[in-house]
Amino acid sequence: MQAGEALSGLFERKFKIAEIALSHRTPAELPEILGDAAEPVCASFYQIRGEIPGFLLLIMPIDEVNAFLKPLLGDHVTEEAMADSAFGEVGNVVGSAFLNYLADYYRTYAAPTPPQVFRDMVGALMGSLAAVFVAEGQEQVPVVRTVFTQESEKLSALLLWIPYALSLSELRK
Amino acid sequence: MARILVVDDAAFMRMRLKTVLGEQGWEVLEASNGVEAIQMYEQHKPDLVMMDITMPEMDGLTALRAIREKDPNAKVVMCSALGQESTVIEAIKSGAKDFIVKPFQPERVVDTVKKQLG
Ligand SMILES: [Mg+2]
Repeated sequence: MQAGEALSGLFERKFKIAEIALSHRTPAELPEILGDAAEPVCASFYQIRGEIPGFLLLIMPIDEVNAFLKPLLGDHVTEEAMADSAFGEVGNVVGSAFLNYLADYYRTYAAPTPPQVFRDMVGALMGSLAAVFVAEGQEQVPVVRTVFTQESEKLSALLLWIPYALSLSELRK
Repeated sequence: MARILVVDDAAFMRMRLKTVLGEQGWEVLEASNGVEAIQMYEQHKPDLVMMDITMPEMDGLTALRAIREKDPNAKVVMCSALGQESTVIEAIKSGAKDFIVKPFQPERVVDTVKKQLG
């Protein structure tokens, strides 16, 4: 909810949360988590430090990114460096709003690293992430998926929160 | 004319703040991480610093403490998406004058700066 409000506040237009879901996947399933692994996306990626370590990603189909950022950037939207900076910061604001809520609710602390922005096939991105969990020997990966939609422009963005399973069980205590 | 140092790793956010502050007639300087912020502060002695927290090289809380150590009268306002209670408390304890949580309304930024420049 807080993340949706943050997104709406940043863009000064209404984004709805279309879906929030928790699922458990094996690392091998991650590349296909959004369907077609070959779909080109723009993603801003954050590691989460603090007491609930894990990862956050804001993902959007690459052909929607310019329309999405246009209200923030105007004509600067065609400058890829500026667009990536804005997409990274949108992810920072939305992801931090999400973490702020979690951290305050559970009386803990969770902070994202500065963003890394990638333009790549979604399967390639999630594959690199999957490798981290494989290296950790973690067989099940919890994934919290939030879908934001902006109806007038028919845009959708996806926020994935992927904590280490260990940190999630810490939280439940 | 008051001089404001805007510290944020996102070029997009610096551009946005520069527009909002520039419209008020304030001079805006920019830094993109905590290390640059400290250098720029010493060099230009701005009247106010708007400081992000999540940044590469050096985060905003560390830079805040370093600047306040060198100049106990430094006016630093945090402007960050990381608005957790523990973070806000730490910032205020470290000498921040105020804390603006992103996303911000431009008026909130202008009001805060006016209050600090008083
Ligand atoms: Mg930042």
